[in-house]
Amino acid sequence: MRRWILYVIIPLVVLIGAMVITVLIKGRNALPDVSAVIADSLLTNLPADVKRAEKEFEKAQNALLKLEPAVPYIVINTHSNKLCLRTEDSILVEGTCSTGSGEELIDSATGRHWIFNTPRGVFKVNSKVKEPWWRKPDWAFIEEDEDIPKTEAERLDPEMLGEYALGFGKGYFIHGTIYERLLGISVTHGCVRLGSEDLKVIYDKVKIGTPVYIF
Amino acid sequence: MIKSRSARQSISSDLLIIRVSLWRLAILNSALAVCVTILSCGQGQSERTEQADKNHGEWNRFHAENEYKLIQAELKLTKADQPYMVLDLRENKLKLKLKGAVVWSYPMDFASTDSDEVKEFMKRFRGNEGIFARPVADKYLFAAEDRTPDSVLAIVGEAIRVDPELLQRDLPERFQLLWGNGLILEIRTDISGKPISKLQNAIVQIKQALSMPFGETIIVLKIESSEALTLYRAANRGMVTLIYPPM
Repeated sequence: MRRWILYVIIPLVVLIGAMVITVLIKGRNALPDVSAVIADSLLTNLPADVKRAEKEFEKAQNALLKLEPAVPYIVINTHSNKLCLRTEDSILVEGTCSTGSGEELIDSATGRHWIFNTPRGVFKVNSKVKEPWWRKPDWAFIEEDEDIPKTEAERLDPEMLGEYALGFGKGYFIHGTIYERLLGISVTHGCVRLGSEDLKVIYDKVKIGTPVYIF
Repeated sequence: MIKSRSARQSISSDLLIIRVSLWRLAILNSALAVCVTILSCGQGQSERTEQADKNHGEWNRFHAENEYKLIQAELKLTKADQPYMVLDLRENKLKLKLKGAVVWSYPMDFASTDSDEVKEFMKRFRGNEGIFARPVADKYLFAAEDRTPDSVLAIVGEAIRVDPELLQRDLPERFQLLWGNGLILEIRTDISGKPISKLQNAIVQIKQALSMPFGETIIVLKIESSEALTLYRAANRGMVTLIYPPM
């Protein structure tokens, strides 16, 4: 009789064990801690009325579609130092670039400091310049342990930016370089350097207003 | 006497046979109980899918609701300056999107897994609750190769006064992205790099092998090393990943 109890108890114990494991697994299946940014959208429902629901659905769909650029756009990939001109589905032109080093420079005399990052986000090409001259900012002199010049003429450098420059705001440019061997490495002060051949192609294809996505 | 001994022997051998068969019965029962319990885990999902299929035909509120929630979630993500990831099964592509535009994509050509495992991954991603957004919980780099020779970086670093270590980019040979809930995407490339830590790699692999019976799904994706570099560096912990289609 006792043995029979044992034969019943063993499966029962195993069953309880399996149930505990199941509970643990279900615990792992619990809703993930999705970023608070989108958490509320998981609870957003369509209106009960079908017509209103369809309209609401279409509105949301269009809002998302609107965000897809209608024209080819520039993508700057700071992770692999690549720049491309692309559409949603294909890459039209791609080249190796150099982006910001992320280094910090502190002026010991004044306490001013700069962090040399390429900005992330969405911008637009707002200027196209042939044979650009670089107006050296203060940090360029501080970095070289040189005195900051008193005249504007001393700040100008006609060689450094290569043959073309595309401005995308806040003083940042996609431009050429005299240090082509460093392309592919994050060495710049925030601007995006591109090889002369790729730069010419991009300059010719891109219009003012072209979106620039940097990530 | 002899008779009774042989009879006793025969009875005891019979009892032994019965005991053995009862043990077998007990083991069989236990196995059955485990199977039934484990199978019950996935029941919720199939019920939900059946319900969805039944409703197919007219304007499908169930699908529309899910699609709508996905769009709303994506619209929220487009407000940030950081990219988000999309596992796009409609186009079979892994994408990084920023502000609604594709900034990086790669075809999902799964190497060592058949489509059933991919389906299982997607099912697990969605879970019983039909989740279509999960943040990257972790990433683990098994092996990598230096992208630029140290000697070159030493010269560059000196010239531009930057620590050469900061300039280096590891080209990943193999890494994993983890979303929790036993969801693992393993990325492999064609380069042969150095293991980051042999001990740590072994621990991670043992841990994953032990978790396997409790429902761990690993899908393997082969990616070109330079593209893998982008994914490895961009997909940080917390990056929200969406799944298309939502159901």
